Amino acid sequence: MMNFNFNVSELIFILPELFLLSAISFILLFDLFVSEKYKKYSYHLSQLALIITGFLAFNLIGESATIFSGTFVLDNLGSTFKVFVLGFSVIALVYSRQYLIVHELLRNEYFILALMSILE
Amino acid sequence: MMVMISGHSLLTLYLGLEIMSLSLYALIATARDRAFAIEAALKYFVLGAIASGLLLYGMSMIYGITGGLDIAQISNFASSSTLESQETLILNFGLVFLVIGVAFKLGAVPFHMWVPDVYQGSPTSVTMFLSTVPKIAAVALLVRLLIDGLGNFQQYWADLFMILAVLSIAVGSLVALTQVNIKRMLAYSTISHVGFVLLGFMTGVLEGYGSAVFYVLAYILMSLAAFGSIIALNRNGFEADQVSDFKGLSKHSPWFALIMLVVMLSMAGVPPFIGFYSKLFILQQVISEGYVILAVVAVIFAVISAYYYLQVIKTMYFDESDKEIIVSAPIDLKVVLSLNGILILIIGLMPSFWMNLSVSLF
Repeated sequence: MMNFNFNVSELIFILPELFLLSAISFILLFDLFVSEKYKKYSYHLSQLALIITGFLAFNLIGESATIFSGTFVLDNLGSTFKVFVLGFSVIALVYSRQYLIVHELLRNEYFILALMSILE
Repeated sequence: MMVMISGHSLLTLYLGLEIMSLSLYALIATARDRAFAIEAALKYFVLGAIASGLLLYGMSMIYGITGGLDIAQISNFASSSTLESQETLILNFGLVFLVIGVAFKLGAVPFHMWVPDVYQGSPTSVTMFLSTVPKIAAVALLVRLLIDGLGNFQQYWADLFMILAVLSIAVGSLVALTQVNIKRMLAYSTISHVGFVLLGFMTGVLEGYGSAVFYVLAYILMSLAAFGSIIALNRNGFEADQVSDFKGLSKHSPWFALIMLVVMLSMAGVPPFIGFYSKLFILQQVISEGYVILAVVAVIFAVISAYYYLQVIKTMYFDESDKEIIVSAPIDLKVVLSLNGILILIIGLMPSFWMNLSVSLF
């Protein structure tokens, strides 16, 4: 049997993931409750979430740890890849938005789905 | 992708891959009133499920023989000197399925059949997303499973990679020649780029891995700019997805035409752009490991593929436009696209920093 140990101090190593997950939840709720006028800001919030997550991931470069009973590893490769994923995603969302506006496909779920695929 | 990149157990890797793919299927289907998009989403979903099944089959085999899901445990088992021949056989069997799963996600031949249809059918914004960012996650999956986990079996998966790489480069370069849809053409171009990435991993040395990572990052930068240029040409109800839609772009919008020129030259591998150095680093490693014939084949197909990249340039600069071209992009897209194009040139002028960074990751 696997032996599951959990230490709260390990959470610092998944800070980028935790932040992105919280941000996704927040944007979902934001989209649900704000009036039509402010819905366009979901895009800006998504971009902001990506940039902050990228910054958090960048801060973890140099750290290395294997946490959650060996199911999750933090190393230079992982952190650097994450920074690139988030950076390229920011560029991709800038281009995407224009396409979605032009073809009347703009729905906020698009950004939520993109953020979720980036998180997982 | 972030969970997948950090996965250190077959479980987290598979979980990340599946949930990422689910979001991507839904992303394609957001254009729900377009028959092509729904077809693409379904095709991606069905073929993705098959690939996940194969990957899972391989993982179950590895789990069965090593008794653990942890990558470190698998690596320990695979590197022990007391492996019996039957254990080696089963590990090899599982390894083949892992390679298939990774090859499918990267879009390497002969697991590429979904790439052109999905790229063409998806809304261009999703095509751009699909063809760029998940490739990093797929490379991470490859590194975790094959290099971290089964690094001792490098000679076995290197042979498989060699076949995948040569086929990908050949099919990607040859089939793209006849495409008139630029999204489909870029899909085949992706396939041939993936071939180069696999060549880098095939070498089995740290510099080879580093140059493969550099290639992926360079490819993503170029691909983003290419799709960004296509999106900049889109306007109300007009989908600019044919090569002929670029006719006469240089007269109407010289700056965007120049960016597209840089992207196409870079993808073709013309110095001093980033695409040249990424190919050069891979070929250097391939030759220094003694695979001279492979390098020659790769270069021949790279030259063949230059034809269709140059065709886009010819269309932009020498063909007269039969309809009016309006580039009505907002300022943020213009700025980001320009920076993206400039980056392709700047990193191409000083590639050593990025190359050293890529090698230092391993």
